[in-house]
Amino acid sequence: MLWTEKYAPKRLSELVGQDAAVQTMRKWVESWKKGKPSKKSLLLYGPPGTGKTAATRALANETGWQLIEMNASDKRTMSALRKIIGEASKTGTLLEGVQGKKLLVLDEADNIHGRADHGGYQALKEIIGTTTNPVILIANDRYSIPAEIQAQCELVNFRRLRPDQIVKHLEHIAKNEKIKVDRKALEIIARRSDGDMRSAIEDFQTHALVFPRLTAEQVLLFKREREKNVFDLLRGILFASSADVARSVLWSVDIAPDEAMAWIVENVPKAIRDPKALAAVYNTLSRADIFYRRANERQIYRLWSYMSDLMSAGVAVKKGSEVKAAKFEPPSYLKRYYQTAKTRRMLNSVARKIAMACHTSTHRVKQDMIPLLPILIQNKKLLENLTANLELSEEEINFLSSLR
Amino acid sequence: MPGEELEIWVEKYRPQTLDEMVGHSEIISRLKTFVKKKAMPHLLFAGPAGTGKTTAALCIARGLFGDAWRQNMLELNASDERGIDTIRTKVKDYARTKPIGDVPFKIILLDESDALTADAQHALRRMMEMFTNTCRFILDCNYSSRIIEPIQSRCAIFRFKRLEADDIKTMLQRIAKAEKFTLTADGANAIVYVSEGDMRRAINILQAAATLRKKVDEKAVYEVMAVAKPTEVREMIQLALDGKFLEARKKLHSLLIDQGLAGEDLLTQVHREIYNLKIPEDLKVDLVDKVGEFSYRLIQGANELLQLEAMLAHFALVGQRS
Repeated sequence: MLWTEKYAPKRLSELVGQDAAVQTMRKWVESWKKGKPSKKSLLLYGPPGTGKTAATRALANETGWQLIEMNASDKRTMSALRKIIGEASKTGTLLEGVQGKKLLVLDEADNIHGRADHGGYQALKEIIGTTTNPVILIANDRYSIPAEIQAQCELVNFRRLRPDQIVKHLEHIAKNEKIKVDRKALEIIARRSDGDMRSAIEDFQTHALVFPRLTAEQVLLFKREREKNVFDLLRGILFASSADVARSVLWSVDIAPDEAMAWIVENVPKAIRDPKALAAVYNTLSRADIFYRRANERQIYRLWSYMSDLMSAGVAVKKGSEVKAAKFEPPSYLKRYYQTAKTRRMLNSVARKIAMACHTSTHRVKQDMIPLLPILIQNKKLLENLTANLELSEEEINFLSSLR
Repeated sequence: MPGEELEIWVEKYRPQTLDEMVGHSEIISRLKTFVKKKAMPHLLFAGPAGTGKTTAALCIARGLFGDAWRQNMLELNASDERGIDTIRTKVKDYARTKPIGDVPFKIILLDESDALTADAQHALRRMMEMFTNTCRFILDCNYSSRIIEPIQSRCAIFRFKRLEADDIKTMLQRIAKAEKFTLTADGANAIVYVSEGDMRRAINILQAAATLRKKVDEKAVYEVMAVAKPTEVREMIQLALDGKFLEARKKLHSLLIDQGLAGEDLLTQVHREIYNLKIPEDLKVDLVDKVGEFSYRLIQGANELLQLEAMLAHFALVGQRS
């Protein structure tokens, strides 16, 4: 069982580190019980893993209100919202009489998108206005919720947890699970979680599965294991004994696919000298690149997996037998782009200005005219004429003069 | 006004009236009747670069609108505008206002219109229909076959052929006379040869040669070409064929990154160079096949550096075989 579920708070008092929020929520519950709610809706906001959803469930548990949850995976068009929340919000449960309320919870309320959830916020506004049941909205970012809706809500802020609060809770779990663990290890996990209790608990459970007695060294080592550096990636792929090995090396490295690709392309020709193997490897990389473009262009990100396989397993099986140990280097083109960015910008802006004046395109000027410019501007009169007529900037003039 | 007194000769000596144009006598006489009657259909000018398509369009505008031609003509270049939406916005804004003067329509000149995708061309067709009461379109393109059928059928099509050597020489001598320098016969022939019937290129070369020498002869022309036609692409190919892949790649990066050359333009040059290589004919054809393949991958939006490197790797492989 996942510890995040097993150790979720049953009552609001069990919630770690959110005393102010809990107090506000309690008052709000009281006002509903008296039949005169201060505001009909709460807006719980704060970073992930700080207990917003957990608090809502604990609240439902304490009050006995029936919980109706919706989150971002549900479709939230106006009609869908009306249908699910709207109807539920007007009728009380017969079983429990007047006191039996339904608690309507809209998780990830900042994810109601303009087009896909057409009219979602409008419907939400109406529902909060007319409901006879308590409503809770949950969001990471309060300001992505329309101001009118914020105004209808009691705002409740959830704060990032301090490392010591997280450590204390992890110790509680460790004791309960009868796990032997160094406090130092828990401190590292807590610090890494950046105030996110959920991720800290998940991390702890993963580590505990692997190491029966968890030490700080193991936590640190495990981290390094996961983020093998890019040199290991290159060695792994270029000297892989099989397609499977190359694939798993790529999977074990925490690096974006395009970045991995750039490193591989930069270094492949340094290690593979046999022209036949190099051509084959490059062709595979070229195919990988095409899958990458297709994936991005049409937002079909599952195509990334083909790119990944081609650039890892594909390279591994086509690399031939003559792979040399080489000094791996970062992609050189980035440095080059950076160094020549200004020249390129000048070239483009001057070509564009000439194109406009000569009734043609930038692209044609670059082909026809730019190669001749070093000769043409030896005529100082022409340079002056261009400067005046094309309204060239000082930078552009300097660039032109430097061509001579 | 920019371009008014520009010392770039392609502009300075661009014909101002249809009568001043050289070559294409049949086309010109038909265009003149449009000007005379102050009426014309949408026009499609097809033909290679530097044959007078844009000049003809500008002459029509001047003929129809006189001094107010700039206000009554919108010039767009499909390869420079950012997509059909930009074009649509500009056309809409422009078409909304009435023409200035006694002409019942304004002109929208869309240069390099075959750079538009088929989808974009359908959008263009709708624009042509929408604004047909207030505007006439002149579309310039290299190949009319790249223009969708519904647009072609709405236009009068004029095909501009490559200019004859004599037409180009006439223009070059006209300029030499006005600028007061001597253009020798072998100089003119050399320019015609290297410019391949492209008037714009011919005039640019003439201007460069006249910058270097008072008398423009064959030698002056080839001096210009030595500067203007850098041999870097050839060197890059040769390095790859010699198996010096890393050096070839460095050259490639210099061309694409330092000099900002477009990948597809580079491929065009590579394609041309293949036939100058000293390798067996069958390998040349094999290389052309590969260049075509990588060109297609570029068009699909693939990464220029990677794809061209892959092409060089293939050249290295072929170099080993030859």
